[in-house]
Amino acid sequence: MVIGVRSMTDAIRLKNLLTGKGIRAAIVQTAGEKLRGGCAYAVEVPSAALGEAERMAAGAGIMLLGVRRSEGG
Amino acid sequence: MIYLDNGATSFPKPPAVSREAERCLLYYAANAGRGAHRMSVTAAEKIWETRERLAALFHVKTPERIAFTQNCTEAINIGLKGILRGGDDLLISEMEHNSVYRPGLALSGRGVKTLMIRCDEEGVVSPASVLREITPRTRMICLQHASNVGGGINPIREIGRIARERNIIFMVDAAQTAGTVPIDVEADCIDLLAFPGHKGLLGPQGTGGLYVREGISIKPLREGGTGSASESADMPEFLPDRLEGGTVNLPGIAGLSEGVRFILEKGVEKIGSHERRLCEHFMHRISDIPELRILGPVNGESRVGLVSVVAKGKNAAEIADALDKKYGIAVRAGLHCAPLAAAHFGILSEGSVRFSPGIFNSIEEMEYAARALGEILHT
Repeated sequence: MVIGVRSMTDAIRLKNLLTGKGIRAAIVQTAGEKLRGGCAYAVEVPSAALGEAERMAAGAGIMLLGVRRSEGG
Repeated sequence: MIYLDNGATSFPKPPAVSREAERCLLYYAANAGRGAHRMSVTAAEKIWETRERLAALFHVKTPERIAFTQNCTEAINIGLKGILRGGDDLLISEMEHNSVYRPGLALSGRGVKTLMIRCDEEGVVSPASVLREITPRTRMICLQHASNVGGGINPIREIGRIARERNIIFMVDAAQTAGTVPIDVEADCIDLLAFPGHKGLLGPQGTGGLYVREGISIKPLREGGTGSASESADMPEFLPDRLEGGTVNLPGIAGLSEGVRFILEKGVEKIGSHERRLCEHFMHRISDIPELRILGPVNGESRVGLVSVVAKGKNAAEIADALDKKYGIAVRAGLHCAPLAAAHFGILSEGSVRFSPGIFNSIEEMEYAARALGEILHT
């Protein structure tokens, strides 16, 4: 799953939080029209980790701009 | 050259500082936050690493509340001009550097009144003197943590509590203390912390930063691209993007990261203690030179690692010139961009000679400097 965030700083924060918990995460560039807010940065996580990623983001005050399925998966 | 001008900018830097700045320029100097290709992500991660290290140093819980600036002066300008409005009172001390004094005065054109807090004869602010100047319109207290002329350390924790209890914003100018005196933004009740990257933090010039406490509303000093919320005509509301319009100084920040790492590993207390020990030795060695006045606190523990002296009948610039030309010692002479402090000490016409050692100086070098000063004044 690809989670859109509002800035590169937030993308790094979210990625670091997730990888710190042992969750695989990578920063990716995303087409703005596919996510709300015209975001250009996103963090890709396994589908199973989406709920945990959303909880961790909320706890850290990271605003999520939308979620979509990863390309090819 | 024996470099004793660390109060102006630190030299030398830990070798890792220049190595990382060079590594950045060679391998990952992409534009951070303006793309998500690998090199841009690497650049952004380096910037985040630096924010995290600074946050650890200053006990900041949220690294994203630290915005990078080009120096401490810019950070102070953002803090003052981004918050104060017509009708507000600003409290500063009568020892402030021009980095506070000038923007404070410039705000008078917008209806902000700057009031001066009195200092004692050693150039230090007391909590009681702060209390005396607070008015119902006081919106902000902006104080230097330590004087770049007298070296006296202000009791920021007590003053911070006074400000917090009265809902007054407290900004600290840490130009002379970041990296050498412990700073805890939570315990010290600091709302805004302005700091240079190139002095005690041992980073390259062109670096600095501003910490802004959560809940403080601040306007940017400049608008521009941030790589975020690009569809909006307004600057983002969130930090650090709100205050970082335009491309940041990535090679400088990369070097700064290593400077801060050096400090975190060595320890702020240890670095400050070393510099104070050097100054105490120096002060002891020059104490018997007649007609020489040492500015600031007598007690070495109450000051940062700098010693400013005034020699009766001798021009400060001539002494500094002789130290440079005859002895290979680099010091600073004059008003040190702090005419308020010079006026406080009554040396506005002659200025002072400032010796400011750093972490890489030795007792032997201070011994040599003391001997050189004695010889110059006796000839």
